Amino acid sequence: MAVIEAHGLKKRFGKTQALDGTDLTVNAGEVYGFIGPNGAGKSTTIRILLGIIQADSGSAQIFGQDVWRDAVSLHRRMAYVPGDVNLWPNLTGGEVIDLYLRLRRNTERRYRDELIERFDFDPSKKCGSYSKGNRQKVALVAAFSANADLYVLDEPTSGLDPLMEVVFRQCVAEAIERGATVLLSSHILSEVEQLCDRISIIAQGRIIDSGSMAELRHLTRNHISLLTSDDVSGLADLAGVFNLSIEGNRVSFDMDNNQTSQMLGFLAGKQIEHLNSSPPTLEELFMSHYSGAL
Amino acid sequence: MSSSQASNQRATQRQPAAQRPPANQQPTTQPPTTQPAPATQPPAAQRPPANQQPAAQRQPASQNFAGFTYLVRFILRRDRFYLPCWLIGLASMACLYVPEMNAFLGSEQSAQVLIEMTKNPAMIAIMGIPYGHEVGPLYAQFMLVYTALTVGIFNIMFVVRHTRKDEEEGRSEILASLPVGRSASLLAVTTVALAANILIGIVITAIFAALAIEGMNVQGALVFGFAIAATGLTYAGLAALIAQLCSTAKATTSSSLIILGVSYLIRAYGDMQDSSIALLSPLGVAQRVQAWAGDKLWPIALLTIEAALLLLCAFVLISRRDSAAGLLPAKDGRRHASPLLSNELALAWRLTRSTCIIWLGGLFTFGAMFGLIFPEMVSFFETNDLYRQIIGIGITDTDTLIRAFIDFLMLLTTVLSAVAVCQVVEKCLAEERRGRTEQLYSKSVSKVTMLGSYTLIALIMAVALQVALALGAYLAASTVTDSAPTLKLLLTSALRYTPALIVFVGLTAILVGLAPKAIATIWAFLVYNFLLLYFGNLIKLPNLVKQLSPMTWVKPGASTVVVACTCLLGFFGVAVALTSYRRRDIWG
Ligand SMILES: Nc1ncnc2c1ncn2[C@@H]1O[C@H](COP(=O)(O)OP(=O)(O)OP(=O)(O)O)[C@@H](O)[C@H]1O
Ligand SMILES: [Mg+2]
Repeated sequence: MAVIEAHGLKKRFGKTQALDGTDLTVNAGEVYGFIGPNGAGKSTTIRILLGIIQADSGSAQIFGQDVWRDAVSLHRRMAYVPGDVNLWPNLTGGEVIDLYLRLRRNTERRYRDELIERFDFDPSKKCGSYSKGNRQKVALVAAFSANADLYVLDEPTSGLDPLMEVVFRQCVAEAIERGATVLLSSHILSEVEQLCDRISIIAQGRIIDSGSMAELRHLTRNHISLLTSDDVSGLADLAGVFNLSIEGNRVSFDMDNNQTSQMLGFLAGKQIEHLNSSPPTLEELFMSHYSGAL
Repeated sequence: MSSSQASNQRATQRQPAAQRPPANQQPTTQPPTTQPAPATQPPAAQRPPANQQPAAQRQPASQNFAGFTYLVRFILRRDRFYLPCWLIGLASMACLYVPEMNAFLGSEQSAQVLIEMTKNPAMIAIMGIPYGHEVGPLYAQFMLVYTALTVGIFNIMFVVRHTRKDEEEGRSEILASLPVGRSASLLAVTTVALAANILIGIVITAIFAALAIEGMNVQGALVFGFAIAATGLTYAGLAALIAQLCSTAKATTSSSLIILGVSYLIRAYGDMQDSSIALLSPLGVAQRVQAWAGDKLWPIALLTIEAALLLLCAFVLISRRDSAAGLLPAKDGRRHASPLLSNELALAWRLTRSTCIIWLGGLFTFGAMFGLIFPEMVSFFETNDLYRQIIGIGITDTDTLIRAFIDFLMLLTTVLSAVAVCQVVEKCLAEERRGRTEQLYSKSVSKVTMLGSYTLIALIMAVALQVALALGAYLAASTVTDSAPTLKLLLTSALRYTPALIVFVGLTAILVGLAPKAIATIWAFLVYNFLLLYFGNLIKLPNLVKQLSPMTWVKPGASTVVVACTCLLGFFGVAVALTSYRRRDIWG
């Protein structure tokens, strides 16, 4: 069951075509990662999904409702954390959190207080004196105490220290436990890799790849390293083997995943002491996509 | 961390959170695996689901305003000091001079002088039309337009602060993601503005009622107060509309203020010609309530309709546009810094350029307006003996009289130049407040040079503004009459006040360098100067109070020594400011 369903979103700002036919489908109960280089259109997509800006063309629905027309009733079920939280300098953090919760008609203070404690946040200071990470916490506390069905998080951890990032990950996990859905855009790829069930990579306003980590890896190369006393220089002649390097008995190369059996066949008669195959990290995936997209 | 560790982390969550109720899912979107066992539900789970609406239901129009009451309370909370201060300030400004005016009219002699003075076309252009010779209408002529103008400025600032400014600073981003209607925050601002204006009207009426001056009845006070309130609301509507068009707070404020200035000029021109052109300006309409003379109500009704139309346009536009975007396209900037943008002075100029240009244009226009009415003024002086007693006792020849009057007009307009130069210097602090200077000062930019650059621009402006004023007056006067005053005369008269402007530059710089928290005092001091110069002749004030204004130091007839000392004082202020700015901490 799709919670977010967006098709062919286009948005132009003056001369910039920020989105150029973006599609996105996020299923209920999953954590969906959304990554891409600066200016790729992540925030623009998210702001369209929130009905803050209107797409020039294309359709976007959340819980089957139109994101622009039904924004108010959708927002009762959604919570948003932007990457750059700006607050009113002469109000305290606690006041702002309360305002956000009241606007949701949410009078429950228990989760608010619990989260404030977990995020180690001082709600009694004026927002003007908060550091970047502390302003981020205001939005995080307000969002996670809202008990929403869908969390839309746009670089939510920018400025958080590693300890707080752990708390954030717990909050996401708990939200999923409760049956909520999460859309997470982030530049911290280890965070995405760890939290997300499925991922989309966007570049220049188009989704260039999407799927689970395993699916994304499927089309890429594994890095293979092995120890052998036999001569394996014949590997260089195999299709799908790249960057072969042989130093004494240490051999390493990259290999297309769909060529695995061919390689195993070649190595079958050889004396192999040790073989290690490591899948690419999301970072490597991203790099290969990014350089490919440009 | 690998993914196995991550799932491990999910499994070992802390206890309290695990007890939370499930998210309020509609049955169709609820994955069966996450359904908790009902027996272990904490009481909170019995909360009604947040959203019980069936999917894909059409939004009722009222959704546009969802969250409105909370936003009203929020605005009141944010402005709980700001609003009462403005309310009290504006209402008392409207009534401040009643006792003086009443006393002044008490004596037959001075009453005659005042009545003659109010017939001067230049005075009509500056203040408004006289609707009678009693204390009530005279007071309304003196005060209504200016109070309405000030209330207009307040409304513009208030509306911009709560609309475009919040959007520009990104504070409305999270609000827009909450169940808040697209027009709710505009409606909340409008409501508070409406309430504030009505309160101003009521307080003004109440003060007049309490003063109980003969000839100023409550009925007149009501139309006086509510003409001001309705004008305020009109400018609130204007600002709300312009906030939908422009994409920055600065552009919204300056466009609204320019329109306010133009509407003052239209009123001045229309009133002087006694033409209905003045009705194009809300200020001209407001005045026509004829407080304490005819007590007309139609101007208030007309203004209310204008305000309603402006607001209507604003509401139509806001529901159609993206949050944080304007409807007018914003141009792409330069890709590379212009070669001129290479030192502190160039940066300061780049940041204050538009302010400077607007003020130069404004003062040129003011000068031109006085130039245009110059012929009427001359003929008025030639025919009106009594008037001569006001400007200078014993002056009999028209030339001297005209010169004295030009000096008076220049003095009044110089207050505007003072606002301009203060604004330029204050820009240094505004940049600091927004946290833009930290970057700069961490490069090899010296703080002293930076403040010095702003100060230098302000000092140049102190001359340039006065030249623009004189030039405007000269060019306009020479197109309408052959006997225009010479450029030399106008320039001397205008530049006479430049030393006073230097003092204002020095004062603002000292505040920036020494007491940035108290920067608001400079604006209060400017208001003080304006009131003093505008009413100074009317009321008896202790000499010390009058001498507080640097403008009075350099008035015609001041000795060269005094003028030189005034300049020195200003420069001394700048020097003190530069040394203290170097020493003090930067905020951000
Ligand atoms: N309000 C706006 N006006 C003009 N251009 C905009 C606006 N918002 C976004 N853009 C442009 O649209 C493009 C996409 O921007 P967007 O903010 O969606 O990128 P992003 O993927 O979130 O990048 P980042 O990783 O830096 O956050 C960029 O080229 C940006 O300059
Ligand atoms: Mg972004």
